[in-house]
Amino acid sequence: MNTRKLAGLFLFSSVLVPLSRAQVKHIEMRVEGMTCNFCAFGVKQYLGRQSGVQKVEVALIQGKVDITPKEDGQIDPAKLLKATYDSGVTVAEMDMTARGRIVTDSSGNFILLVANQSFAIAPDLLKRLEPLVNSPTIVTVYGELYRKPAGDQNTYASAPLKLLILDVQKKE
Amino acid sequence: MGAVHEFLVENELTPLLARPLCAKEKVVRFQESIACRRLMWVCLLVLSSFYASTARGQDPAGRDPAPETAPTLFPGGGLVSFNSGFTTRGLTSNPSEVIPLTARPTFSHAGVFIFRWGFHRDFDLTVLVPVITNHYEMASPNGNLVSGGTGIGDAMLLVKYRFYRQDSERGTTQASVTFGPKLPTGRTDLNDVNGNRLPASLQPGSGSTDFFLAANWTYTGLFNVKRLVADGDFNSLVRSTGTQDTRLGIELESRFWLSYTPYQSKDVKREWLIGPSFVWMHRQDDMIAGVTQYGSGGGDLLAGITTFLGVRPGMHIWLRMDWDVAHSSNPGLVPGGHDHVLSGLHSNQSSTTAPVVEHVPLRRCFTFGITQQFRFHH
Repeated sequence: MNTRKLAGLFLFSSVLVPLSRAQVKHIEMRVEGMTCNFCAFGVKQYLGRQSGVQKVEVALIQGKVDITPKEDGQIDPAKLLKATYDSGVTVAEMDMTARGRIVTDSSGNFILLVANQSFAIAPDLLKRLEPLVNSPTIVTVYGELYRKPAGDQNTYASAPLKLLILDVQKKE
Repeated sequence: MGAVHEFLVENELTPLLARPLCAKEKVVRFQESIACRRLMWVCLLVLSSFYASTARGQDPAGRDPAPETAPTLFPGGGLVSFNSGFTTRGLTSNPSEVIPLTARPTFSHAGVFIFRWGFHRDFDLTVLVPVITNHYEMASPNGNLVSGGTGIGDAMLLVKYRFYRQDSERGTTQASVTFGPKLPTGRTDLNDVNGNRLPASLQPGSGSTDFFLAANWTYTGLFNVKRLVADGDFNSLVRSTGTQDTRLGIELESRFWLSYTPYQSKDVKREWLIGPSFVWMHRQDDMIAGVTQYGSGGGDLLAGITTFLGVRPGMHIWLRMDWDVAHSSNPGLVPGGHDHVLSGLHSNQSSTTAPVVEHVPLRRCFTFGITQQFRFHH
């Protein structure tokens, strides 16, 4: 194990305890192909049975799906993305509101640690977020987690998942 | 949902990308073939609008107990449904008081039990078992004669394949085909008041193994109104020879429904859809003992209204009413033709030339039903 990996491991372990407060607070999706209540029922059934899901609300006309995680916020957006695809519709966009800490990973990139997951942070935000990196501050961010590539139809995550940080809502 | 910054996430989400890449390749090939399919589909729709169609004799009334007929049931989903369809026709008179062999029920009720299983994103399987009651009433100088009875109808096993789905901001356009056999499971031994067997056209079952084929399309967001949906169905029942050496006329049906959703709750519990529907049906002439019964088939154009009501998650009830607005009979016997027209005969009677038994149009159709969806498996 080289020095960089050891340093990364140290940084990760240093934030383990505070991360118990980190969680995904809300997930919102815009889906395509959900045209009637029959489809919406399937979406709700699939998502409602995913681990960590407290509540699923579907707005059929708007094509929106709101997911409220359970109290512990232990929810995996990737699994939700797959479950939504499996239910027969296509996710066009997925937004997430999450609470976590900003740290550097073993490669020196800034990431948002949310529970047991990590999300890379866009370089444009580095300056703004720099004071928060590796600090005990917990931030609540709102960002776009996935967007269906233009032109793709009925595909499931056909392009790399991307995290688009739209806003840092709260620092505590 | 605007995007300000984007960044590749290299975490546990990325392994999921392997599959999508394969899927993308498939999509490219699929899109290449879509142009040809689109053309074929448009041709089919145009044809269906000109074709006329036939009947709903021993029919799968309410074959598709969903407001939109093109989508398939969600993968792993199940659906049970019961449809109750009533159909009436005008009375015919026959001084001989013998039921014509090509007679259709003057009153018919089809209670159809439906089970559907979604086993893939684009496929589902449907089993239909009808219980059919047919009554035939004939005007007679001695008072109207009524014959008929109830029995299990012919079961159908249908596979639906959604071959096209295009999503956009406006809505989704989908198209599917449904096909499968109609099995001769139905009762074919109903007798009239005199103990003679009723003609094949009045039996709950046809005694024949037939083939059902349908094409459906659904266009949501018509005129960019998200609550407005156009839905079309074109189906055909290709008949073979069944009981009493009778091959009932091949049936064609084209249905168009324009629905609007005045109300929809956010929790997928309640919704209400309503709109006008038009049905164009055509039935070819029956063939008995290899002899075409000219004029026994015909066409009907029905107009009506259909409404769906979602009452709780996964449960819908619906009502559909159609009335005859125009009808026609197939041409009768061509003078000098080689075929005979049989009428007023039972299968054990000898054949003779007789007047054409003309197509008696549907007067009205009334269907209601209830559907419950559930999750069948993961």
